[in-house]
Amino acid sequence: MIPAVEISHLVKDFRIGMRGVKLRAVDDLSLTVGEGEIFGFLGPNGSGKSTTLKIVLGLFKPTAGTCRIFGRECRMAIARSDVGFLPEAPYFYGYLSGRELLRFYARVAGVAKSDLEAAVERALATTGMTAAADRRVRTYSKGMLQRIGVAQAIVHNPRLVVLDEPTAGIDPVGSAAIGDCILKMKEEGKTVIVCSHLLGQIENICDRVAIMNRGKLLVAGTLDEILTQPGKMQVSVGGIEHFSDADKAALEDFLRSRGATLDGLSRPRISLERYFIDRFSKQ
Amino acid sequence: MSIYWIARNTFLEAVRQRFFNFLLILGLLMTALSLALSGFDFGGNELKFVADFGFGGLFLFGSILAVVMTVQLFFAEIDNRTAITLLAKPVSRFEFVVGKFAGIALLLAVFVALMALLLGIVLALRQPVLAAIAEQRGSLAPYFSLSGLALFAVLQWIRLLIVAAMTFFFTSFAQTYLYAVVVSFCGLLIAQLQYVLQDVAAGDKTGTFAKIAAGTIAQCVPNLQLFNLGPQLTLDAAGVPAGTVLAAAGYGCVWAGILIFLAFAFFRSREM
Amino acid sequence: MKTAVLKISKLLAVLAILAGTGICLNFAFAGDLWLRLRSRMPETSAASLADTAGTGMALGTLGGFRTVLADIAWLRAYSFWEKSSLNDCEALCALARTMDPQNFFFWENSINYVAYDFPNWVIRERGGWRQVSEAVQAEIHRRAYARGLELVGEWSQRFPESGHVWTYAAQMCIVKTAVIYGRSDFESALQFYERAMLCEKAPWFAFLAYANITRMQLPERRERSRDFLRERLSAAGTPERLAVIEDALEILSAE
Repeated sequence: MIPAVEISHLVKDFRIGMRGVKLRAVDDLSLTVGEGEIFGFLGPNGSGKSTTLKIVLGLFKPTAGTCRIFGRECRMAIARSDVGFLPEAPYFYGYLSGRELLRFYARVAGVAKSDLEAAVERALATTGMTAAADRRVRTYSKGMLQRIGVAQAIVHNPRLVVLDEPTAGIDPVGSAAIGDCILKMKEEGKTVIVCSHLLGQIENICDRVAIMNRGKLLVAGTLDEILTQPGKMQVSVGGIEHFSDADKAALEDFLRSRGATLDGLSRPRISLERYFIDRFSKQ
Repeated sequence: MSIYWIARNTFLEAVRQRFFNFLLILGLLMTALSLALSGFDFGGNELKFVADFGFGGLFLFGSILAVVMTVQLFFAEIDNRTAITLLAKPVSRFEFVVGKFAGIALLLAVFVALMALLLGIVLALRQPVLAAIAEQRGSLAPYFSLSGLALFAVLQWIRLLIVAAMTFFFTSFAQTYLYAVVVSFCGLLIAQLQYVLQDVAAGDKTGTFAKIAAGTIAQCVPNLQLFNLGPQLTLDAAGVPAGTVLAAAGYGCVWAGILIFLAFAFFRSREM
Repeated sequence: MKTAVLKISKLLAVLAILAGTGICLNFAFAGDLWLRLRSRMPETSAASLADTAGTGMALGTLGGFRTVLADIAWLRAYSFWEKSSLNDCEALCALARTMDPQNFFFWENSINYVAYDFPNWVIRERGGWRQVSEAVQAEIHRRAYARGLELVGEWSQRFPESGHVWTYAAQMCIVKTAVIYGRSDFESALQFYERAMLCEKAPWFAFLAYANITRMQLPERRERSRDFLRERLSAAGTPERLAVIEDALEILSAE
């Protein structure tokens, strides 16, 4: 199977000022994103994530290396016919309504006239923007802008969707809705690349992640491969409110007989994000 | 097809902006105000006054529109990063530039057509009145040609296309909105003064360095004065030979094409 | 260093493309067209522009909106004419002519103001024709006439083919010399009519006026005028013009 994105020894240097001081933003990056997976792209600010994505999307020319989208050279316009992109802090044509905006992007992406309305309505429904579709984009809130941004990224039913900070500045309920969108895309067989600083969200939805720093790839793999602490197990016990000292001692004896130690004992908690979502999505 | 949709979107964006409507109203007002000249007794020359106001308004407001709207519609896309969303689609940079230019060309065509229409109406209304007055006085009736005005409108549209293409060229490597607007207006001014540079280059009293500099700049810039055929086309019974009109049109189209090509060449390697 | 070299190479390439385009297009398209248009453009020397009032006006002049500005200047001059404000009227007329030198109307009416209206304003300012001595009045009119002739000379350079310029000069000569000297200088007027008749676009009345003035005012000049008209027969061009010249010769022959 052809990978969705294949990056090989990618290098990107920027020349700054008249003297052309070299700044290496991406340093010999090699990476593969398989078709149908949700791929998280992480790293601190200035690590080279956005630069890498822009090279993938043909917006930057690499200094060295290759990049392919479903086997096609990424600089070719045709390679982008299978790609939908939501940029960071998106800005759209304010004078258009949401529906007009999607129609425009769908036509530019090659959606046939006969399929246009169905595609637009589907994208609006998926992102929950049907009610606001006829309002001008300049009247949208931040969350609505993000959602219409996701809508324009999927309106032409691309095989690969690239989302750069899709939940930046969005409340947890909205953020969860976008997370659900992403999971739905996976069910439809799409490949999704998500670039985000919200590690909790990445952890919940991504199949594989890559972490960059200073232009270099630090690690890439599944979350289990990266996050699992070797030599430790985690146990969750139900039907009990309190552990007495005697219970604790008995437990420690049992573990010692297995050659293990008890690192800690505490009550499990749900995440604050989960609490927020459960509380406010009911309203 | 992407070119068509980008052009359509560009045109739509422009007409929904108040600036275009404001300039159009100003231009139409300038032509309409010339009707006040009927209070003066200029005889047949009144037609030339009306035509001058119309031609001047067309070029003044048309030039402002060509520069400002081009920067607004092209540079703003780069600055606001709406270009990123669009170029991430299967749209090449060539299609983007050509589509944008086509949208602006359509906008300028609408502007010129409306201005020419009003001017044509005013001239057509005044000409018979002035002709009757001239006949009473035993002098020659003033002449006016609608077809000449239409030809002139097409030439003005081509002239504005050159201005827009020049703006595209400067905007393709501009880093700020202000730079794009200022440099484009300077380019417009130099193109209007190209004949002065030609004269300096050909002058006897000019120093060698000034001659070379003026001559070089003169060759690198289109001569917008070549499109000043308004009075001859519209108010002169002798008119202008078809070959001359075609030469001016050809000159303008080639210059616009070259400038757009250069704009594309710069924009192609621009990283956003 | 490499970046600077690259940037300079790019700049030179762009200049080469633009210069090449300009040279090719000027050669292929613009040559004849520009020759046709150049004569209609105002002079661009610093001296000619020095007369225009203010840098803004100069920029506007060179900015290509000059015909509109010329019209506005003329309207302003007209308003000063209505108030008999000589200096302002003269300055704005000059500005209008500088900015739109191909406007026949501006030239004709400027000379009307200079030759006919301005001297009367000056005399009125000095106390009126009853107060100002005849000698002083004659001198004022003489200076106005001289200035008018200067402007006619400039006017003819702008419209070398127009006979109207010289017929106008002839009429001005007849009127002004009568005012200045008490009698019209018909000989000079006839010389102006001759210049008019030599122009490609000579008005027909020039021939008839020439013949009538010779017959009625300068009968001793009849033979010379007849010879001149006969020479014009061969260059008549059209049957209508031929008929007009023949009519003029007939007038000369009449007693």
